[in-house]
Amino acid sequence: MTVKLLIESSKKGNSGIQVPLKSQFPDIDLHQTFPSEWVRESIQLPNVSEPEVVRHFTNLASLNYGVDSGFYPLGSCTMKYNPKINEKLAGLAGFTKTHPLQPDFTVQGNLYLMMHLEQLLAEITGMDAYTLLPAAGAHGELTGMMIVKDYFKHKGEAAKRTKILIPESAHGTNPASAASVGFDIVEVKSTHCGGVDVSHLKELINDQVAAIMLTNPNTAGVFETDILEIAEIMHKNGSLLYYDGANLNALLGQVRPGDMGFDIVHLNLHKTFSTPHGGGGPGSAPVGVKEYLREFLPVPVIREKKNQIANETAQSNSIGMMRLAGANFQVLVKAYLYILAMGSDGLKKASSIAVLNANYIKEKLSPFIASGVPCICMHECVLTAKELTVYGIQAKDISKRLIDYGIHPPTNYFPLIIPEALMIEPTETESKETMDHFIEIMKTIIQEAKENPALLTEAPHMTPISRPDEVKAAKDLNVTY
Amino acid sequence: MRYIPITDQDIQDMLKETNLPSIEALFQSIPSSIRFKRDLALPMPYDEMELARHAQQIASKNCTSPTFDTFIGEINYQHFIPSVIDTLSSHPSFYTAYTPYQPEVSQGTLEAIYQFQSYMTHLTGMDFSNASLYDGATATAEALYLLTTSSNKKRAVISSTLHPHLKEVIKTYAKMRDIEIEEIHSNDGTIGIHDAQNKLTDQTACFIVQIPNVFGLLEDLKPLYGQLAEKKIKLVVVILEPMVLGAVLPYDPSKVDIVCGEAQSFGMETCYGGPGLGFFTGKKEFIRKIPGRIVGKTTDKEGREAYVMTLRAREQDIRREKATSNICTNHALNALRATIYLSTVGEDGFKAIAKENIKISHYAVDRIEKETLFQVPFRKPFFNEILVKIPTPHTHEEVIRKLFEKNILISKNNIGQFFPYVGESFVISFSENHHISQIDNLILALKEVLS
Repeated sequence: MTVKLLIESSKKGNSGIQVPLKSQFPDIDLHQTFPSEWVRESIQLPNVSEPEVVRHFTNLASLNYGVDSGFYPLGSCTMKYNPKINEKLAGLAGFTKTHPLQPDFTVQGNLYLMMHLEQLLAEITGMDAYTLLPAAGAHGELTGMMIVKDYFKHKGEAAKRTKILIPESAHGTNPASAASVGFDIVEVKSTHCGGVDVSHLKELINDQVAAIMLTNPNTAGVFETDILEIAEIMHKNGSLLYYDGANLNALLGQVRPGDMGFDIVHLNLHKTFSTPHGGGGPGSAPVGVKEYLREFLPVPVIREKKNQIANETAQSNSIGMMRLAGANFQVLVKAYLYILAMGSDGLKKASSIAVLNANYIKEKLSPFIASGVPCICMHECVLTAKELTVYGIQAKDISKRLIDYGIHPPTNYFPLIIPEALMIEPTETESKETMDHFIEIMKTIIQEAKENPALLTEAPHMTPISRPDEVKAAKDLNVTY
Repeated sequence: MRYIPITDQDIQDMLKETNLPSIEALFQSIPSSIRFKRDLALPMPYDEMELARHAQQIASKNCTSPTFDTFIGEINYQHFIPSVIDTLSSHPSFYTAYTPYQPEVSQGTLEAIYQFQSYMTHLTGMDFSNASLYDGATATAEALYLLTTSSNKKRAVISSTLHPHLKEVIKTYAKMRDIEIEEIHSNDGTIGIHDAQNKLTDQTACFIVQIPNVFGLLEDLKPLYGQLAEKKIKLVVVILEPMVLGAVLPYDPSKVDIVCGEAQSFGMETCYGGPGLGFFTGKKEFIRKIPGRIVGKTTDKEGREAYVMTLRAREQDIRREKATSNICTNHALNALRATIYLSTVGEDGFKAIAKENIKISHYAVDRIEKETLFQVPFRKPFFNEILVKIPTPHTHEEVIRKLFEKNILISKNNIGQFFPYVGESFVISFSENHHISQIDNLILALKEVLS
């Protein structure tokens, strides 16, 4: 059951604002001002009153599930609690009313915050310089790959260095980002723990390799123990290491990407640094580099000179501009305040508890459902439902049944190297009681799978709609009223 | 701890129940040579009161309304934002949700996006809209990638009248794929039709124009439609101020292939440039090649209406390096804000607001021309902003400073830096948010700063 579209409630004469506007300015005839054929007639927007708008969207919100609703162990997405004070302070008019084209001397507060955030992120990750411009993880990856490309162009090796190595277990954005800027993708085999198969890496390495893109902990939630050897192999070959920061929450204050040998990193502020995901964005993905790559960062860069902080656009080796202006500034404010609220001890505790929670769930469930990887996990654990396939049950059926019990499903079918994967990332902001409840529900569902599999394959039963027909959606395409 | 509900006792219990020796043991797979042994050099943790004080202190170092009157646009606009938008978009079920991968618990987000797509499609006159992109420039870069890939041509033509920031982003993306970008020159504020006729060849994948353009002017594409069709060149219209669409549709939608841009104007603060809202609408033939999410209407097993993300086979998590774009997280919450905004103002309100922008800007520009020494070099059809030339020997920097002393903010972009033939100049922007007294003050200030 869905909510009626607002266009179906539209009535001529209604509006959520006062129409006509109380104008103080002389009237104008659009037909005199513009070519007549341009002047708009019907636009097909709804005409509805303010209370109707409020009810409509409040009803829509009630069909949604967020972190504030309950447990959201969506692996790889770090759905941690979003502190309310950050939402409130990021909404201060002193921030929100600033325009990206205001002269720098009139936005010294914003520039101070950004400069300071760059320094904090550099310390947390062991990198030397940051750009805060990229709008989301994939945009950060694109920025990083552009830096790789221009770095080799600058060295006169662009024609030769055409390949990016990517583990088969990697996030889909990695190969997509590298291919976007014209690199060829070479897949590196994964070990049974989701790590890089170093012997395969040695076979693949040659002077055409520009870089490797890695997530650490890897997408199976396991720390890449061979990272130092991998870094040595890459650097000896003149190649770079790119760090996909999707899983940084496991490592805050424990080990830094810069110390592991990474040359370029992107962070997902909307994962590790607690800013809300917004139902699909906005995110923000600062990109950090080692000193020798600083000159390639996108413009503008932020510099302090003579007690004034300024946006600098003149950078001869910069990859260029990556967006119209500014950054996803409001997201930066929230991440900055989060770091200040946590401090060093808080961030270390966050990673410690995130890792403890994932291992707790994994161990408590181990008598009932198999682990997808035979290794100590970090902040997320991957289980496999392959032993339940004899009952006609797939991973997604378990997920859909979890919904009936008021829990958001984990990530399914990822990483691709693990069959029937259920990737569970509890984060540090869940209580033991919440996890114990989840563990009990999982046990119940596994029992149901064996005794009454239809309960799972037909799930969810308690939601406003049951499973939608995705084939029909793609075939009889209806994407606009 | 404030955000971490696990106590020391819990830690002991959890370790015991799982037979794990210690938390430290869980990190033993990290080589000890790189374990981070010291404290991070961060400030001591702030409590909530300290955070609030600190943030307010930082924010107070910025100059904003109501102390200052702002007349800046170009890429982001300060329109009035009805209160319902903050109230509704800050519902935790909207903003603390992830991408709607699980449609059964995401119908709210999905139905909102479906309405967003519908509104944008009707506004631009195209066949479909995606669920949002990052911003107006990255949306344009995606259009460039799509059209050069699908046509197998490595050349695109842009009008020189694009905003310089938009142009720079296009060039950043183009050079990564060795796409050649050629500019059509002009000296009268709008597309140089004669130069266009020479440069638009059958080797051109697409032609990118911006309406209103960098000078605030509405381009007239009519003289070019024939040639574009004849040479099979795709036409991309970039709109960074979509409020214009409430008054005019300044192109023939049957002749345009993709209309994309920035929709920050619809219910978002300027917020120092982000997050705004990239949008992407186009002709049916491209729908299976577009970047980003798209929501479709379907039915569930019981035949009830349901919404779901569709055409997923284009996307990176499924298609990997063969995906049509690398985009994953987009700007869903901003699309929600735009949906609430357009729903609230409605068709009649939207048209009224658009017209009000025209009335105020034309009133103000008439007065600038008549009453001050500032000139308007290109007085052609415009919407809510226009290029203003600073009389010699005065400089843009000087005008910025002197207006600042009168609590008026103008753009830091000296347009003459990008277009030497216009000299020292800036774009001045108006909206329905300006009161007539603010226009009076502006005119007075513009007179005084030159005296």
